Amino acid sequence: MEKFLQKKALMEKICAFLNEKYGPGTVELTLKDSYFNMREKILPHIHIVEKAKAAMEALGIAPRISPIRGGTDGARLSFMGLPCPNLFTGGQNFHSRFEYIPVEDMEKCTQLLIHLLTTC
Amino acid sequence: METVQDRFLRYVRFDTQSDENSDTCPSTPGQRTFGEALVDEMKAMGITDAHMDENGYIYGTVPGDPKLPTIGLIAHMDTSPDASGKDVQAKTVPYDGTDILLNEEKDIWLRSSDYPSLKENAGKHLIVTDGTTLLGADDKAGIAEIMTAAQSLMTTRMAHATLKIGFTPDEEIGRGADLFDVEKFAADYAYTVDGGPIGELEYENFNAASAKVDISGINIHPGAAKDKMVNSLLLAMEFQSLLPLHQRPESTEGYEGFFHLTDMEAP
Repeated sequence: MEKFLQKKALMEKICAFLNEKYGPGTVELTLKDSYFNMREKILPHIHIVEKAKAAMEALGIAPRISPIRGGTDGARLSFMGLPCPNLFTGGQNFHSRFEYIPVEDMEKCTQLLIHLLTTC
Repeated sequence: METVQDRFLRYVRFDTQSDENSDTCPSTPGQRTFGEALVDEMKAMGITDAHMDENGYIYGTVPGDPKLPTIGLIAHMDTSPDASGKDVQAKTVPYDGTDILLNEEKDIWLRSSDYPSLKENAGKHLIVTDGTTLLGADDKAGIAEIMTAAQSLMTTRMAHATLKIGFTPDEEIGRGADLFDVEKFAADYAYTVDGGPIGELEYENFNAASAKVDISGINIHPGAAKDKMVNSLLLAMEFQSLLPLHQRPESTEGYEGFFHLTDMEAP
């Protein structure tokens, strides 16, 4: 969060600097927050991440836990009061003509979902 | 019971590309058509409360043991505006680790030299496109996986938690959560099924903001410009040049943030 605030502050400083250099009102900056890191909303419910990790391991799937370099609807939902981590579908090369998905990985995902619902 | 593969192949035939220039919800009528088909399918498998709300969101419940937590599973119906999702010609190919010919006529190949992680799938069966459209695994794979799991829960004798299903429109244009009714959904917690390669599990994301910079210049004949002209294009470049060079998408990874210039236009 601190680095995010620093980035926004830097843009404001640049804007102020250019207005000083070229005259007031030359540059106008509009900053609008898009979304926030869901981590703080998930941490109080970290058992739901642990549960997904354990379910994967029980099914022989190696968990790959990494930060999303962007946004996700689950982040918005987490801030709306519904803690919501994200699970794999198995698909690759999203948004591309070269998108593909292994059938076997779709089957694994389906097993994972069933496992999450039957072992709680 | 229909396999997750057959279900997915049925879903990708629906064109559900979203459109950020539309103000309606869903942004495109194809999402509503797909949603209606999903509601029919949920009802046919015995999910009696399955319905689409006025904004095109789909909700449904697979009742389970009330002593267990209520768990939500969420996926989105639209596909990215970045590539066409019309007339998707999906096919399943056994993958032996060599390159895949997607389209013989147009000579389009899926090559491991372009996509190194392809090789990890040797021995599996891959669903691919004909190289002219996206596939729509993002996120119809999530929908097919949730629907297949739901059908399995409907028929199992095993004790299970109550499942709340939510299918949203317009995730790809950043509106998927806007009109989601968290209160009505009434799950203790949920998972979106919208990630990539097998094993992916994510609970952290960026903090993000958009920045719009308006620059007012002064235009005048260049021959008489001395001490008068303010060239807004040059000022835009000056603004950009003051941002740290090393904080761009192409030079950051992991937890490192960035400034990303997406658009520049002259009035």
